[in-house]
Amino acid sequence: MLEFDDVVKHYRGTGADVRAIDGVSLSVAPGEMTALLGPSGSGKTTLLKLAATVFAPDRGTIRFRGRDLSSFSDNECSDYLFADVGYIEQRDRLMPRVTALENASIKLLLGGVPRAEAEAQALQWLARVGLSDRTGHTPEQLSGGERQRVAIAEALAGDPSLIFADEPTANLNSTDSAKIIELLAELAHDRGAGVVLVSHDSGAARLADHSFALHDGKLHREVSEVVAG
Amino acid sequence: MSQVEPVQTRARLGPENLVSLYRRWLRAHAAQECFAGLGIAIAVALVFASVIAQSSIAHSSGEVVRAVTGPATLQLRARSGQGFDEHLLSSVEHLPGVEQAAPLLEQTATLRAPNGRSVTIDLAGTDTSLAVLDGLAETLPLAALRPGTIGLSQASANALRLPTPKGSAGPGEVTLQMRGRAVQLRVSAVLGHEAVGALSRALVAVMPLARMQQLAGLPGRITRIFVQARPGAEGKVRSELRALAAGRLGAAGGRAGGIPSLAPADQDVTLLREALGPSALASGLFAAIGGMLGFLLAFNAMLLTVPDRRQVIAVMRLKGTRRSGIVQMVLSQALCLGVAASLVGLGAGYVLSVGVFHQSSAYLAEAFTLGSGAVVGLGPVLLAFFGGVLATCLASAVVLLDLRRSRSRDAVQQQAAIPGEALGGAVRARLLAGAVSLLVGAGTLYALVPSAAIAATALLALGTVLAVPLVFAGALELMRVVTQRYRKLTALPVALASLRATTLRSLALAATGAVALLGTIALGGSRENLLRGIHSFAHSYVAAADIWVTNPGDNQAVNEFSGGQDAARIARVPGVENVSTFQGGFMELGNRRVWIIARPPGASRQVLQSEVLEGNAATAERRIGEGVPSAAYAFPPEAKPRVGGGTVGYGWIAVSKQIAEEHHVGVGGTLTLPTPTGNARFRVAALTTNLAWPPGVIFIGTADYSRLWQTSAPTALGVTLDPGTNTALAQAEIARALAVAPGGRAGTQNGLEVATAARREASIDALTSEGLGQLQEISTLLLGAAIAAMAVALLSSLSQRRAWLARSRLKGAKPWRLRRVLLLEALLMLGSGCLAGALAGIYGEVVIDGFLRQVTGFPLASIVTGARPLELFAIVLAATMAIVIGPGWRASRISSGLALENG
Repeated sequence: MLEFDDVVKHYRGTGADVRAIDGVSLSVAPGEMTALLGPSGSGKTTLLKLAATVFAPDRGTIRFRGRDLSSFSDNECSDYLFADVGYIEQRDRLMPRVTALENASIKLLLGGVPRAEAEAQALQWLARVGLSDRTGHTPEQLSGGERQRVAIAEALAGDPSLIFADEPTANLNSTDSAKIIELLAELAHDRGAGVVLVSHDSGAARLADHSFALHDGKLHREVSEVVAG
Repeated sequence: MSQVEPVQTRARLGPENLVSLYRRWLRAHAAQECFAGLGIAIAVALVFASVIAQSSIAHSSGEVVRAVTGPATLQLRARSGQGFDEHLLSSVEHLPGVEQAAPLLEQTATLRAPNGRSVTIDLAGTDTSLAVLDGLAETLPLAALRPGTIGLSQASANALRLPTPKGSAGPGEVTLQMRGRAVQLRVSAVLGHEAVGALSRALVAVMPLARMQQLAGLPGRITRIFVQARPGAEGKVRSELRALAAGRLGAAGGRAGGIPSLAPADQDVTLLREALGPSALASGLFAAIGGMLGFLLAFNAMLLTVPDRRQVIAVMRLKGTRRSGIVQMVLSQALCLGVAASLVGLGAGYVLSVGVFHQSSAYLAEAFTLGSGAVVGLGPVLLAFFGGVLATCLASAVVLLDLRRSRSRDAVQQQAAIPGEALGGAVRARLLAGAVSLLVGAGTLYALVPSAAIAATALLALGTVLAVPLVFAGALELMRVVTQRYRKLTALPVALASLRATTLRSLALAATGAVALLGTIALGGSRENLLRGIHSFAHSYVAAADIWVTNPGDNQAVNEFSGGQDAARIARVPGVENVSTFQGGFMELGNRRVWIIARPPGASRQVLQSEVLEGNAATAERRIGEGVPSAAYAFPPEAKPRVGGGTVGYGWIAVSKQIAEEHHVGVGGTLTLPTPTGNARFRVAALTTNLAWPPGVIFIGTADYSRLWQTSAPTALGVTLDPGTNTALAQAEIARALAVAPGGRAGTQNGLEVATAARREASIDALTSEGLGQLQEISTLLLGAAIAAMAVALLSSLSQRRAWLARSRLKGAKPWRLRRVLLLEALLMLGSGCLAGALAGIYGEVVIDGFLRQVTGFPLASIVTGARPLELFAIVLAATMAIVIGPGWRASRISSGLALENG
């Protein structure tokens, strides 16, 4: 569904150029969760942002259902992000003093979906992430894990075929972290979505179908092999 | 695969989506939006209030004039207060094409109620023909014209606080003081709106023509004839009236002295508009600058929200929102905020215009019949409303720069500083170039076109805002050097680091300070220069005598009284050295009701010295005093001047610069004046300010005045005392001699007021300054708005920094140390902004002074550079800090747990 082919991305800093992504080739299939592990600065987030058309690669191609993302117009990029991608950030970025239901329906409202329909969809996704009894609560009344689940429900609204999760458990305790990882794995396995999970926590690899390590922009063997080897 | 229906994205967001999104944004950023809305509302209120107040006098007075004239379209009006022969009326009535004609005698008079209250009114003497003409309102009760009585408008009765009539009892009696006489009259009726329409809101009174002629000492004289022509005959009637006015039809009026002028019936509306012009320009300039600065404050308030908005937009882009959707959302939110804030501003502006903004018209009351009450036209509403909405949309649109195709979707999050806060080097360079260009442009514009002060000040204000980053960077660099030199400083380095991390917010705050100081120093300074100029004029104007005797409240000395016997009585009072006769009046010159000042030789020296703008004051004074050489007249000296057709001359006059410019004449040139005895040509000896009389003034010699106006009656008597004489005692003696009390209380016969020079100076000073009172109100409102805007900006900034404060507390920072950091930050931000604003404010004061001097013609004192800018700097800073000290204290004690809650 999503294929990286020899992708290279440089950052131009004040000194020498930094090769953030260095010849990465990777395939994300429907119904599978792929974990990208590695320390800070290894290029994990950059890889997600390339897949989310935030940047274009300096070299190589990224194809979604066979189409090169670089060939997308700006509106096509927006439509791709709205309909095909659910992007979950490290910080939940929920609006304060706005209920979980209202927060979860914002993406759909921004996509022009009528309010009633948007909230009906959001309600289903909140139920799916286990927050059906917390829909009227504001972020101030939710725990960190619950807030992140609201963010996931919002990202899932629109039923995307790809889910990019950028360190979604970084600010959570171990119990909440585990629940979120399980939820993402379920979304991949039950709903057939392609999930790319970025984390610096090797524990995330346990539930992933494929795990890769990124070091200095280079993609290494699957983590299980790394650990075993 | 999914239990959920797939959804389709739409290019455009529907109104329901936009409303839903804005409601959520509002809940999340309520304080921020309120602060921004408050800034916009203040600006809109400022603009609206000043524009309404300005237009209301002209508008309501127009209604008054039309209430008097009714369907009449033409009038013959006297060229002086003595009027013309009433027999002209029958000549007019017999002209072919004339449907109706009605006479009117008008005089300025003072009414005193038994409760001691007094009011200066426009007294009209007329007969039933005016009511038949449907002028003076068709429902004027005939009781108002009952012999021996006087009818008062509701406004006059209110001003006198007359008791409400019960049953058949009238409201009582009043004392009428007019042309030096006082008489008791019974009030026949109080004329409300149902009887006299808009006239009820004007300070007027009516009485029978014959009785008024008798009381005024003007038997057989009238000042106007209103004429209604038959349909289709107006052109013919106009030419016949013109011939009649010129005396060519052999009518009695022309021969018996006093040539009337032919004018449109509602000429007063045009004259009033012209009279209001200069103060309207001054107030308009202040309002425009105040409004513009208000909008800049609003812009800065919105700028404080930019970092948050930019982050939200980046998130939206990641969620797949199209550019068009974001533009729609940003503009719709700006529109909602702008509309709501502008509506609040319109409401507040209306309240301000009614309750606070007193656009005083008392200084015009001697020359015009004025209406009162706020009249809200569509123009001011649209100007203020759309100005507010536009400013909001422009400020909001700043965030749309992130949608440029050259920028990545999350560019704002890749910045080195806090997301949305950074200001790149290239942007800084462009801002500096823009600032320099605008400041140079402002200087050039002022030098070339002083009348374009609004544009020059706009350039200056924008240039100042753009220069703020440079000043701010300078201040930070200076402080950095200080921290390197004094290693023990701990709070300052933290404050510097924090300011660098929140560049945009810091700059928005500094820019708010800059705009605040620019406005308060420039407008406040110009206003003070204007008031000092008026004070200087008032002082020199009354310096010609120690004690003045005039009609009550006649500051301009334009109403005659029969003063021959009065002067003789005063001269006999012990300690009186000399009694001089002063004359003057109003004259219509084009669209201006000009103030004519005729003073005895030597009496104008001081006032000319302070008010002459071009020419030599001493030479002008001498030439004016010499008068017209008899030989220069085109008729024998023993004969009466020719009336009507010819022009006679030359004498010398000094005229206001605005009048001279309007007639394209300079010092040494000639100007023709329409005197009551005919047109007379004068040479211009000097150009002066307008002496705070907006339509302008003309100084003329007393000999010329007496001859051309055919009157020797004084409008003021100036009494010079022997050296060492006690002024107060002399005043009391003179009052006794005239049988009036020192306060001007009416005696049985004499209705004159005796005042010391100091008291008259204070009275003139107060009245003329009153006309510019709005400038004070605008300056004060701007100062208040500036302090409020700065305080609001600081509060907004404090609320945005709660997370940082909590993290600092988590690191073990003590509240007092955080307070010190916050204080240093605030002082650096506002201090650098205020410094830039103070420098620009002095520059702005020069620009505005240039405009006032060149365009309005008001007397204006030179700029006094002193400690005032520093005082304002300290006041604004101290007031702002005082407002935020409480919230700052609380913020420094924030719980460190908040840092953990926020992750």
